[in-house]
Amino acid sequence: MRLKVASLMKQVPLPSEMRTGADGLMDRTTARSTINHDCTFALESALEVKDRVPDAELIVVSMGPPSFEQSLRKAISLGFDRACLLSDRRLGGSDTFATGLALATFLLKLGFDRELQEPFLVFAGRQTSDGDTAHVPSQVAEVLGIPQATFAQEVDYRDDHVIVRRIIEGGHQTLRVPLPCLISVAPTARAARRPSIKGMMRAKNAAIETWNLDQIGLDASRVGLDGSPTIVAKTLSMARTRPEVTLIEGSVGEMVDRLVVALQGEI
Amino acid sequence: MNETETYPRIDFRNGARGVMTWVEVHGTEPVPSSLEILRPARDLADLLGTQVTSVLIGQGVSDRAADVIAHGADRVVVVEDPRLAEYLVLPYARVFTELIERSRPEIALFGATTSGRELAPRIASRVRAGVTADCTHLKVGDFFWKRRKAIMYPCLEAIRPSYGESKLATIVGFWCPQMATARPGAFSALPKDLSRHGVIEDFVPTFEPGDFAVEILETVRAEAGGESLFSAEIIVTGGRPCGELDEFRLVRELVDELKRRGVAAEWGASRQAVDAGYAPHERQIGQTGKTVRPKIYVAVAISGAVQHLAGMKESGKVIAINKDPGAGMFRSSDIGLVGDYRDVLPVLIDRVRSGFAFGLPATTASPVLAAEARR
Repeated sequence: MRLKVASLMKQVPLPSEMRTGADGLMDRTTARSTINHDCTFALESALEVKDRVPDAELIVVSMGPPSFEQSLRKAISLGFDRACLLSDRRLGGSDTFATGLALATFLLKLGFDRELQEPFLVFAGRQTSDGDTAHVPSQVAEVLGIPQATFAQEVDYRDDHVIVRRIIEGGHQTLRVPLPCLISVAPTARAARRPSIKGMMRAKNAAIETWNLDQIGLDASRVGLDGSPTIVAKTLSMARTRPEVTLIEGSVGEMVDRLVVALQGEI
Repeated sequence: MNETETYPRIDFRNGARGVMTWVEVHGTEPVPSSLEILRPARDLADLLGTQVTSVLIGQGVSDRAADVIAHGADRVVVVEDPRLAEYLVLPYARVFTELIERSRPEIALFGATTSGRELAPRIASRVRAGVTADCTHLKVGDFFWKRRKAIMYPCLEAIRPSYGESKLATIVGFWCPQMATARPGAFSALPKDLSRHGVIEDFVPTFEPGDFAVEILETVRAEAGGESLFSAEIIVTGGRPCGELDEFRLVRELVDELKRRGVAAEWGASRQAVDAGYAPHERQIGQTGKTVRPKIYVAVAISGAVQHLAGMKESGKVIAINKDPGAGMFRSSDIGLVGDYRDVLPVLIDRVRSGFAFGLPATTASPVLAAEARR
């Protein structure tokens, strides 16, 4: 049985380009984008499994508009075998619940199905820089009905299980997680390797497998705004409560002197 | 007349009532964030005319139930099981799934710890509920739902900072329970009131073998998890450059010097510094870390992303040190020093040595703190 490894990946706007649209949702139409930072660590975790098990099939899995192709090709250049994108306008407005459902349904379609009794691993980044919730990995694991470990710093693949070092408050925990399972990786894990020349050549011509909701058998009413249990009611600018800043420039000695004076009798 | 007044009002709860919270414990001790969420839970329950039920899971935790009531709960459900001595997502999700199906709460709240941030969404997907992450405010309100041309009530308004701009997003949903996580420090615990009465009951869930598929091999909890950040009078927080350039040496030296003078000082780190491995997670200030309110907050080489501001904006005086006069952090500060922190901090440290304590009340140096600082 060939080990299957998926890495969930999201393409996110560059931090400098984030805007909220009139509907209160993120406007992703104009921003330049990149692979979500945490997801790059999930890619590396999958590649490390392949270093150990050269026969493993590595699939990068994403959900988003066709423009995600650039990041999927990047994953191929790093050593992934296949790139699969779930792309459908009807997914727009999906919250983390609906996103978890859609991604899990897509993974089931791609053979990441515990009913098949074949070993598999799913990696994800801890959280995305635009949503910032860290919900989706847990929600994908729940729909797939498999164990999970989140905030993983180290992942050691051992045939039928993985040993995971997980960050907890004030320390860490070592877990033994049986396959199949989902691991979400923190950005204190090992950073992604660089693409090889051979990989870059392969990425240029690789086919990006694009699927829509009908092809994965998911009813449109279960995703998007209809399938999402949360909606953005409103966004408000944060009220400015502080008076204008006093900027102090000059030599270091002068600056610190003026700071000392400014704080005298203030507290 | 408001035009929405002509639309029907719909109580979407369909019989769901009550506020549920998770009391996370380390060993048998409730973690502060679990007691903190009892404040919004109490407020919401009072507004909605309903009760707070807290869920206490672990081994040897029954004795803590009275404390949970003293901090605001009406009812504590205790699940005692030696297999649950340490948190594990699958069996804990099982407990909540059964309790939610049994008692049908309208709201469920969790601390946004590394555990709460994975447990809440896992439960949400299982019981078909919505969950909002890292909330800073929790309110009750009406919502005019354009798509259904109806006024939905009473909604949990889960408020969280949204990315990229200085905005607060209000999230609502009409599937019960309405779930939310709240960051440690975002709310302050109610004072302990031992005269409060409540009900304590035991609960024995029906586990499935798969719930114990994951095995804990080792748990290392070296320190209390940066709790002293909540009681510090001054916090000096470093951005990623402080890690890259001197591994937080100057930031920590300033804090150590303040401690030597008897000032309750602590150091923190931005998310970028933590993610780059320069500081432990428990020292992270910001939306996905801790919310702090010291009298003096010193931001060293921090750009001022909204996620960071979310964790410190209620501080007293904010002092920013950044070599870039255009740094966003200056816009959220009272005093800005434009300069390289590697030049500024050594001079500041000198001033602290000669008695400057950022205007904080002069205290005689505490021998205990001084000893700690020298370690």
